[in-house]
Amino acid sequence: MHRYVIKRILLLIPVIIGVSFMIYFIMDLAPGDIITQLVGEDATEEQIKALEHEYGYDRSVFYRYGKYMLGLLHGDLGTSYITKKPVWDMYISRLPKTFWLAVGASVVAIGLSIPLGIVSAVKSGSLVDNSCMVLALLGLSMPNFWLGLLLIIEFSLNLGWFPSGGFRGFSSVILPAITIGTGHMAVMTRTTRSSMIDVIRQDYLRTARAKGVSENKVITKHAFRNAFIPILTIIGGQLCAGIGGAVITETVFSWPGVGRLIIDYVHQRDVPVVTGAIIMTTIITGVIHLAVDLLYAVVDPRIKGKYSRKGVKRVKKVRKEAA
Amino acid sequence: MKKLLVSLICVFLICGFVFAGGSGEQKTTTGEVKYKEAVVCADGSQITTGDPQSINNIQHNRLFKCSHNTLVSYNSAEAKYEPELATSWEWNADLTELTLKLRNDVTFQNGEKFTANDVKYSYERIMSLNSTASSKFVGVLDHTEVIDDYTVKLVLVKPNVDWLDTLALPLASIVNQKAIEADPLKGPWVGTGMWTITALEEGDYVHMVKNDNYWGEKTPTRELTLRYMGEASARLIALQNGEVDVCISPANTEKGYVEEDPNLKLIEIPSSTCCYFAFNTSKGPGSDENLRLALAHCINYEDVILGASSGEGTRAISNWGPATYGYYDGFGDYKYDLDLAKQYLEKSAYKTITISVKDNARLRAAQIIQANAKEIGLTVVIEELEAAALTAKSAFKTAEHESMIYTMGWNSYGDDASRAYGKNSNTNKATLSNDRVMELLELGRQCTDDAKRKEYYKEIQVLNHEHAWYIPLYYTELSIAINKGVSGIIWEGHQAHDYSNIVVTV
Repeated sequence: MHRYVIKRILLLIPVIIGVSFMIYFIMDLAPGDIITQLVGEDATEEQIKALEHEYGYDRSVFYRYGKYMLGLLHGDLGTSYITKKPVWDMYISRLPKTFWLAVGASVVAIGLSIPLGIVSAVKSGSLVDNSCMVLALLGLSMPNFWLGLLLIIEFSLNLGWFPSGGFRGFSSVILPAITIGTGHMAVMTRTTRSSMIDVIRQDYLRTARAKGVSENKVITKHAFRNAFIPILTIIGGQLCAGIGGAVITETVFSWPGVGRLIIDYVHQRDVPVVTGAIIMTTIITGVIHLAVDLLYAVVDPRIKGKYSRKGVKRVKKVRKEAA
Repeated sequence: MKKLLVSLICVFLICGFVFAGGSGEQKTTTGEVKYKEAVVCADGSQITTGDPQSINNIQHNRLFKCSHNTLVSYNSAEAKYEPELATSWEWNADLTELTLKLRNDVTFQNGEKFTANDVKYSYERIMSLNSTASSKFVGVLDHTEVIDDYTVKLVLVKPNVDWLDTLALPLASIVNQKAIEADPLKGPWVGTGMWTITALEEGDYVHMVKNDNYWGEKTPTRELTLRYMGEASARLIALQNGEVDVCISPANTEKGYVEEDPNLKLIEIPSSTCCYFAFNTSKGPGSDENLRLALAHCINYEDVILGASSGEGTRAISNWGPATYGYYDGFGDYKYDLDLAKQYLEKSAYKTITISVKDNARLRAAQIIQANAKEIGLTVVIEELEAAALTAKSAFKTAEHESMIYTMGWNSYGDDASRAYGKNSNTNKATLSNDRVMELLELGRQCTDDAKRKEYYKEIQVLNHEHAWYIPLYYTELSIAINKGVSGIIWEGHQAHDYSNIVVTV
């Protein structure tokens, strides 16, 4: 297991190199550069040259990329061209807000979709099933900006329960979390339903029922646990998407998250901020996926067995015999 | 499972109730009138720095007017310069030296005493920063001489009658050397203004508290927050439910809600921002005067105003700001005359032109112009670009655009025209390099005779009208929705409103 974790962490290195390389070169190819954004309308030739020299724009993009990566090796994500602040500080100040939003959205999605998906699977083909699926489809079909504004009008303006935007503690998380969560809910409900339908037809559940285990226990304990792996994959993916930032929802709710940080600085061609923020997001995404993979083993002991030394030996032996 | 679901929803709702609403409203009392202690102003543009010398744009200037002071300030209502940190000033005979006497009762927010050395340090810092702000000083200010603790002499490279205006801009704010040396990032936040910046959460808000050592008149308001809210509808809702007290630029379609609400007030002021059509006169179709005039006479300007700004604009005759020094519109507007337009087009070698635009309002204007041009047989291609791409494409040196729709927020001083007409200026979207215009701008900069100077500027505008380098379209109108109790804000046509004395009566 440890070897597997180390291997997965090491695999992040080429991913980071690839991601940073792509960002650097794509941003270099995009029309417009930071110098044009920074210099004033009346800037002299000397000022422009001085700025170009300061940011390495008088040399090739390979030089700038190499310099950036050298800094990265020393743990330096660079300094923003615009704000002159360390990118690490800028990213870290936004991360908790994005984290809460991503977690909030996942809680909403899980809280709604799993019961809906289970009910839907158990009552497959019934009116309840169809209603659940319509509800899920509704969540997927509603554009985030529209749902967000609707929630603000109802819960902030009319009822006055929650603030309309910004990061103002727990209460401010609820509306944006519901906005994102309902979108996630749709996919998760459908996955839960189909995964549960596959499982509840299995023989071992029939056996459990025959042995007198209550239906509730059969569904929640025996069926759901086995149906959970695909759902876990979706949860992990959606959490990663949330950490990368939900730009539209962040804009509607004036949420100072990572998504808006990246978009704002892409518009200003601030390469270190964009590169640094995306590298951090890549690392966190990798870690979340790794955590999800490790959780598979917790949910399903067969997987754990596969990764243990004994398990690996057994698999090798079986393969050898088969060959 | 049902129990779990119900419990989850209950937990969410209970927590929501517990934490919702934020802090309770606090009040201060002055005599009989009660004021809100904490005031919040919301805007759609974000503030990224508290360093006044590093940036020069509307939203930041609003902040710096609160936190910092300049030596002089411009009173736009009375169109005159007034003392701020300087008590008086005097020019030498050839307008190359400006001597200013400074206040002796001013302290910085960190307790340091303000002296002439701070002026010297601040201006030298501006020149060394290589920022948008520094380009206003480099090549203009030669050096700063400290005569005594409260007297300073500014020596210019060449005469410049608009120099006082530069000194009144927030970018010329006085900063504290000790604070900057101690903390290069937060040190520049320390000024002598009425408000002390306590927190700057980029992409969220700037929080300020009242500077109790402020040298001028003090406001009863204790806290001031400038909050970033990018979405116009959400911003207005925040005003409606009392989260904020000022909402800059509500959506045109939602102004009715403000007018219907007895607790709110809609303020509409003429803006100094002119939306105009700019031809790249250095090459391609934009270099053909006949094509330019053909387009000028085929545009239905009323339709453009209606389409681009929901009718919330005023027809522009000159492309200058209406409150800018030297504004002239005696030549009248370009008449909508399709026959005349066709005659001009027949004389032109070009029958197609591309318009580059970057946002929805300008895109709609371009679409209307496209339809208008079709009526005379001129094909207009619309190219929609992202802001940074368009800036790069239309920069003076690059000038790869054929034409574009641009909005320029005009300042009040005469030499602001240099941005639109000056050689090498990136705001010179016509890529104009006309010798006579350059000469007139230079004469204007050095002329102390008011009537003569206005003649120079009039000639520039007449030349533009004749050659149609820029076709003025409309002036935007500024809308601000406020809590009815708000007062003390100085509203500015260039949008850098002064919130320093803001109060909200309750």
